[in-house]
Amino acid sequence: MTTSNNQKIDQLLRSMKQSLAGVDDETSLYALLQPALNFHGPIRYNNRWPWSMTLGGLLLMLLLWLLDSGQLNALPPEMLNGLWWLVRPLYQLPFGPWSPFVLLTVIGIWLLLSRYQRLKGLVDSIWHKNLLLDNQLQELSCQPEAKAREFERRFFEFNRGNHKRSIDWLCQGHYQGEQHQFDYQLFDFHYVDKHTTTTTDSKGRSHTRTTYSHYHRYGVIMSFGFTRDLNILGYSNSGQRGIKWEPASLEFRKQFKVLAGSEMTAAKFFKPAVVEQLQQLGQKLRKLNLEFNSQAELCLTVADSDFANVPCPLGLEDAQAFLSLLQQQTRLVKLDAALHTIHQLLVYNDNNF
Amino acid sequence: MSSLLVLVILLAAAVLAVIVIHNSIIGRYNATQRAWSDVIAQERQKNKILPSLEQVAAQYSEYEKSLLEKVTALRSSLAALSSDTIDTKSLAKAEGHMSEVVKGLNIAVEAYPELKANELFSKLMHEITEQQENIGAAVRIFNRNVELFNTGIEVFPNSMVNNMFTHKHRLDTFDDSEASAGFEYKPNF
Repeated sequence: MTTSNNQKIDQLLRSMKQSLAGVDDETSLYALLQPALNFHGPIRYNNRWPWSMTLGGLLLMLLLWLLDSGQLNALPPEMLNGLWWLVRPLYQLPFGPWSPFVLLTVIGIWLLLSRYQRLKGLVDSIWHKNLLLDNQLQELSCQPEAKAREFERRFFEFNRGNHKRSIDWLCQGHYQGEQHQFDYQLFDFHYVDKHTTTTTDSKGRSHTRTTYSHYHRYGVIMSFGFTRDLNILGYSNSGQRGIKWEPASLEFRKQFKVLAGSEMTAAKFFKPAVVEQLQQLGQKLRKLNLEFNSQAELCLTVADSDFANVPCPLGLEDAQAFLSLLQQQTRLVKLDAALHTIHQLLVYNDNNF
Repeated sequence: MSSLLVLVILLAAAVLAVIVIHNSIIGRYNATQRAWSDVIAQERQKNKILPSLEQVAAQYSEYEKSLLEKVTALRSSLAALSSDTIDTKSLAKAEGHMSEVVKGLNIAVEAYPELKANELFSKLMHEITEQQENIGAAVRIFNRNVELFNTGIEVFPNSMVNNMFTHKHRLDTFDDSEASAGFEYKPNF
């Protein structure tokens, strides 16, 4: 009965995963959950066996260690001899007496993790599709490292990480404002810094230790058109150059450093309303950078992981609650704020006459 | 010997602190003065729209004669503005004339709805909206700088450095007397 329930869940997840590939609108996304809604009982694996294997393996390993280290010598001799008689064949095993229990524990943990991952992986994929649909985004396929190189040729912002750079996720969106509309690409830029440190111990031997630090920058790229060669940096400089320029606002000076191709470019761009818009955006987003390149394209990047993704607060256990969650509009609030500000920058930099 | 060294170090630290405080007061003062210049520069941007305003007003002058007079009054108040001295009263006067012009335009739109379809009028209204937003932002930036400057000369030990060396006085923020007249509440600063 238990096995059959787990098999049913496996079948359900497999079929839902297959159907997910064909989902291209909200109606088909909601229809995807129909088999889950029809499922009898909660969509939860019965993990009695994997837990028993894991805990049993750990307990037996503990028992063997206690026996081996003589901690059980206080037991009556008959009982101790009986225990030794039971475990003695284990010492004949080629990989040592611990090996069957280690194997038992590993299999138990693997079963638990794979089931958890199967369920969570599907929920994350559905949630990701829901976010794309709710925010009118279309996922684009790309070669992660080649795309990072392409972006790096266009913007200094991607000149980060001495070990590895990749665009882990890319999608296309469209913003329709009151006065302007524009297409943009939303991305997750992943870069890795490699650090090698050599230390010498008291005996004069040197040890080399290599560590890898992973970072993510999230952002949008779009064609701006009204200004070029301008960098507004709320985070570290990654090779951007230009003349240092400061607007009148003391608060803005605390938040950003401006490097412009010429003072005229900066003076024309930084109207008071623009300064105020950027100050407000800088308070909402972490480590905000804006780079306008020589082709008048804009690259806006931030460190907030919820800029391009929002974690799913529910699982498939209660399919009805999950469906209700999907039916609500989940906006990427920080992305919306950035797009609104970009629109305002366009409004303040265009010519009304 | 060591106590003399400590005394010299303390004295040097005190002199350095006085220099840093003095320079920060001057820096804030200059930034505030520049913020005021930005307000005036934005206010003078209205000169850019005066020809279009006059053109629109001339088209409807038969029915809306007072609009041209308001535009003329705005032109003269803009000419009286100075970016060298912080004169919030002249700015308030120019802003008052601008709000009269906007009121005149709104009355013209109510009387002649076809104005809304007029391309020049529509561009003009967009420009006026942006200019007003920019002036609003410039004034807010100026007021925030004034606040930071005033705080910078009044907190201790800055107040001591200011009284002894820098000699700067509190600056007034800009407030819209027309808007504040609508409130019964008056803060007792």
